[in-house]
Amino acid sequence: MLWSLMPVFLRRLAELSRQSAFACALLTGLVSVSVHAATDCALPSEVHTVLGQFLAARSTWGYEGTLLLEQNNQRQFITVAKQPGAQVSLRRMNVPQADSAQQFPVLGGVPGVDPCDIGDSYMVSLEAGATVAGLETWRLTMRPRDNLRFGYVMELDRQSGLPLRVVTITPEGQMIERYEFATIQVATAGSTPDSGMPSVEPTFTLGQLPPGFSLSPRYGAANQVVVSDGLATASVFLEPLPEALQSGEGTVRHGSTVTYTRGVRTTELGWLVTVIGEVPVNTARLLAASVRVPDPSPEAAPQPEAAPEPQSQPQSQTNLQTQSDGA
Amino acid sequence: MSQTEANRESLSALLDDEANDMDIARVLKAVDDPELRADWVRQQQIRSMLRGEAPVAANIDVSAGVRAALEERAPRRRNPLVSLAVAASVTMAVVFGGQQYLGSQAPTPIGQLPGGVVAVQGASAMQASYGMQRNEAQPSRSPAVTHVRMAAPAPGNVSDYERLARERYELLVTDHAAASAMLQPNALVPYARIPETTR
Repeated sequence: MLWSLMPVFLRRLAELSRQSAFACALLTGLVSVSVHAATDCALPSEVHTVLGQFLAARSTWGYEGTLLLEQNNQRQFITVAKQPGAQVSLRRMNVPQADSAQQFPVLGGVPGVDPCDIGDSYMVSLEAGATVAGLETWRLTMRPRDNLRFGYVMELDRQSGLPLRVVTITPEGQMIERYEFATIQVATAGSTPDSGMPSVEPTFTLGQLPPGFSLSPRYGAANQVVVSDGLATASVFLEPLPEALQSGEGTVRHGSTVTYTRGVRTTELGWLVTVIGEVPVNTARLLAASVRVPDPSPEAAPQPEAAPEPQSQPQSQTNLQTQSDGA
Repeated sequence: MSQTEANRESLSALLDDEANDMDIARVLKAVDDPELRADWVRQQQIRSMLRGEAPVAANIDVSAGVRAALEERAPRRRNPLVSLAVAASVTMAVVFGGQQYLGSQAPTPIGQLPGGVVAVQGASAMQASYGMQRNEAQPSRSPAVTHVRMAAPAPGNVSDYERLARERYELLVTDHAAASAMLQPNALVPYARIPETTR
């Protein structure tokens, strides 16, 4: 059996010899493969470089241009502008209010994503891309390693790493979102990082997360917890369940964004968990099932309009998923 | 199709109990492919999460020992494909890393949670569990976690919850976009996604 594995092993060795980390490991005799060794960083160096440039581009480059966004079988042309460390400005060209630009803050201070972490969840390949908005590109194809996330085909500006065209594909191979710059002017790289956001302690936590996802270290609101796999992001919200509502769940989708709402009614009170994210609905369900809430007491109930005291006692939490059918 | 993709497809077929002899032979032949091994562990983690079983440790690898045992004990002069087919379903669980159960904080199976699943494009529902009844007693869990018992949803609740999901989306999508813009490589796209009508 070992002999039959030799051709595979030799082919693998030839591939790996291009990757210094693996070459070192092999030379030092660490041939017995463990899963952890395989996933330390399996990205070829050129893919690692381009992916790293792409992940860093958000805080180092400003730009303005016209973006075409396709979702829900609708097309929007949006004039956009972003300066490093500043807000973004959007002006939608297909609506009557196109005169007034909308301003949104871009908050930063989030630790950068390691390209190797992306490689753990996606198979990434690199090739020369098409010319987009007059710029030469690299094409990064990211195939998900499971069905808990979407796939992406991205064409990135070779100079800045900015994504100029991104197609989002479901695990079943359907395109659900596409955006592309029709025109873009990339400004000189700035050194000002995006402004940070005051950290807010959430009123609840998540238990075991779906593979590849981790908690974002920053939170938007006390009733919001954010997770990401480096590319896809989902927010989990917790609110009191309206009294008239029984337990249940519902889903709606807008483009690549899924909204999954689940109501949980106990004898004393009810919780409404809502997951909004650019993820398949199964991922949203797993996230909703991982919610752990404070023990039911008047002080601990979440107040979406106010900022409650932090709940840092895991001993007094309730896992929404730990139930049996109590009907 | 690349060799790696062929291996992954064969592995998926094996995990879905749809593998033919070729699939089994291909997976066994590529048993040292680290990507395939990582895929197997990941697939097992997801399947166990969806089934509500204890998580599978990702760092357990007993393949060397198992292979050595196979080398020693494998009878000679047998049809290799037949013997592989017989052994594969059992062997795979061990060769690719075994299953190490981590403590007692196993989540309850998703399928036991009440409520219906709305089929949407691009996301295949694992099962329609609306109104599902279960009678088995739940295993005891860590005393640090309080149990919550949920009532089954009333008939017709799915449309209520669809409406509720749409309302939640309109109310919360801007908060999600702000959080997403912090993390996304392209900061403006999360804002661009918000429909004009929700502002």
